[in-house]
Amino acid sequence: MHKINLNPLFDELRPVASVFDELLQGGLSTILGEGLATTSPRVNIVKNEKDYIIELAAPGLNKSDFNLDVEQSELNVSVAIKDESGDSENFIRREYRNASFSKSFHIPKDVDTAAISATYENGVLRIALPKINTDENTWSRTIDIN
Amino acid sequence: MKQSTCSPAKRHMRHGMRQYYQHTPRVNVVKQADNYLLQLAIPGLAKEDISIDVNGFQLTVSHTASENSNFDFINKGFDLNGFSRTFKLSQDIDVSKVHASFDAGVLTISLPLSDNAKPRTISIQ
Repeated sequence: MHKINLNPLFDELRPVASVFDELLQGGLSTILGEGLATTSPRVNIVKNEKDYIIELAAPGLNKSDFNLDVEQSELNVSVAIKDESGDSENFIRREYRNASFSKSFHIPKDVDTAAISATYENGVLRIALPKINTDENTWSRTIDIN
Repeated sequence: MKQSTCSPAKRHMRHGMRQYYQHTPRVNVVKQADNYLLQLAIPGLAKEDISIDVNGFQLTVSHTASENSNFDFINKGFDLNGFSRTFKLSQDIDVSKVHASFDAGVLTISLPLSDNAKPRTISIQ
């Protein structure tokens, strides 16, 4: 009996263009200073039995600042800050700023896109992506040949 | 344990900026007319678990670590659980009047200038 794994390669939940992000956040920023690293929010992604959880660190914002869009297999989170500068304030030290950003995530095929929900609490945007049909494992299964 | 005894600066040198900020809150310091504002970005932490201690001219903000749950992380970009960050305060601050507020993951600590250090106009008699 052959086991057919329907889970395609690279179908993990992951930020799109993560390699580019890595480069910006880990590589260039250490050379060029931290300006580049501060504009893209830091992200945790947790895989649970019944869902995936994406957490974006975005302190100091309002719920209404966020836009969440799902298009096909991509989830886009964006924030548009009207007054980005805050330059009227006299910063002695500035390690973070509230900047506009747009971040996309590839949605795995086992996610029920219609049931995606989000909350904003304590400066963290928490997006829950429930898996389809969590009771039985339809994702990886064995098919009998009649 | 070796990690925790290492100074933030050394850790930064060793592991790079990204790893340092993964476990250390970012801080903005704003100078205003009669006080300094310390703004710490502490996303995901509850106010109740944060302590602010002033010892002489040293201010320490720390988080009481909660138990690490065994989550299956696909990506881990931030984890401020159990952080501690210490600031050396300048002598022009009135340490007895330090106060703090918390909103949307930002802890704002207000450090008023002592009366001697506040800007004032001197009238000519």
